[in-house]
Amino acid sequence: MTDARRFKEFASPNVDAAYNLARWLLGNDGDAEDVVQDALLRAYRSFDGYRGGVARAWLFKIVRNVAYTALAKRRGEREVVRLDDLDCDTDPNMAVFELNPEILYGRSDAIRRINGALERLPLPYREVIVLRELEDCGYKDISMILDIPIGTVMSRLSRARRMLSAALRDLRESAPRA
Amino acid sequence: MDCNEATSLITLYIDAELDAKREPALSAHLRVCPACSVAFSRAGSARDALRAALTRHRPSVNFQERLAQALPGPEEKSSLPGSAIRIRKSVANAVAQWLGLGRRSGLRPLVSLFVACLLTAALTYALTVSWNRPPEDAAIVTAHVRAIGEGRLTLVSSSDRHTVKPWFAGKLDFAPQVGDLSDDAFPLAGGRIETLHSQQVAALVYRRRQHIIQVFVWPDDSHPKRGFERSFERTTRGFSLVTWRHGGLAYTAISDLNPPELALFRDHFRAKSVPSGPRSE
Repeated sequence: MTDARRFKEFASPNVDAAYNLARWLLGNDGDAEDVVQDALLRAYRSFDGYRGGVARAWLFKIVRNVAYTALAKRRGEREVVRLDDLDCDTDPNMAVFELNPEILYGRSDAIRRINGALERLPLPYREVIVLRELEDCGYKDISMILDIPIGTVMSRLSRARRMLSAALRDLRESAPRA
Repeated sequence: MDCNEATSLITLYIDAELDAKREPALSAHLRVCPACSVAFSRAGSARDALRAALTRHRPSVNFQERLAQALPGPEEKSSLPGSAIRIRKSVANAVAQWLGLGRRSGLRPLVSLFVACLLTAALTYALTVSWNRPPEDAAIVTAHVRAIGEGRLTLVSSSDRHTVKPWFAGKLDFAPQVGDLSDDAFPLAGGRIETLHSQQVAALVYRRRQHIIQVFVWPDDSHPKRGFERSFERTTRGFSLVTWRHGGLAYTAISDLNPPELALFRDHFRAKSVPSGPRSE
């Protein structure tokens, strides 16, 4: 069963990352587990068609597709995303995170808030943040996974970073450490 | 270049997406523009802090087991080095007891050392013969295991980075970052010099609860300077490893901590590292 063994070697190191992506997209453990399991089975079945390249990115793409199908079923309809609003970023400069790092060290209130902010970010922004910041994907991989041009990856990332930075803006640095 | 363009380039640099051709232009601007220079170092720390704060969700052990059942494929063997360390300690103790050596006996350390040497040799053999990873990781695992087993983790033992960092001066021709991560519950234990592939490297030792983290540091200028590069995580024989580059040096952390905790360590370490700008040469 060389095929099964090859697949296991390929998939095992990426299970945690696949779960992390699914968990951030679906919002709870149970759904994330179902999605990861489905995605891995699907990946195994189409493993022959995998021609190398970035293994994780290929797997992430499958996980994401399965996740979106699950989300659509959950809501009973496709999530309507208005693309004009989404990708129209009035500021042509690409943003970085603008927050004081000190605020995030050891302060559980700040940490809770930033995670809550990411949870509430609309999916298209949430997924670029998860892929870029948590899973270390490059622009090119994100572009492949989300099936959008690289320019769109950059502008979405910019906007997502601004939105997350805003979530911490009113936290006072002088507040006591939790 | 104006500051607007610099801001975009800073973002690309932080994301390791800035091509080598445009780096000199950004360096030049940062050298003359204090505002952008500040923005640059803040951007890097902000990003590292955020990455440390965001949750990396991990599947439950229960789920991993179910997955292992559901998916086709052979079962993975348990890690060798961890169990070897436990065997080494218990054998050393058993031998010492059998020889009737008490706690304060001067002979006991010798016996332990002898047994440890035997087991280390066996362990190294086992690791090299069955190794299918690049040599660098193998050498790192061996160095990590040996230092722990032989009780020689640190030559300078201090939790103060102002003691540890200068200790390397005059011994190595590079200066590793030594972060103070005590606030993040990764206290510094000290450092020493280690030899990997006949090359002298810095070894920094940190603790996390009962676990030991070693960070091996050596000069690495091999790639075009890409600043905040993506770091490379992997597990080998039950150990978690993560490698990243910063300021012309490569850092590889190894521990028996699980990968997300080691990734957290990396994020905190990087966030506390003095930012290195794009090189101006």
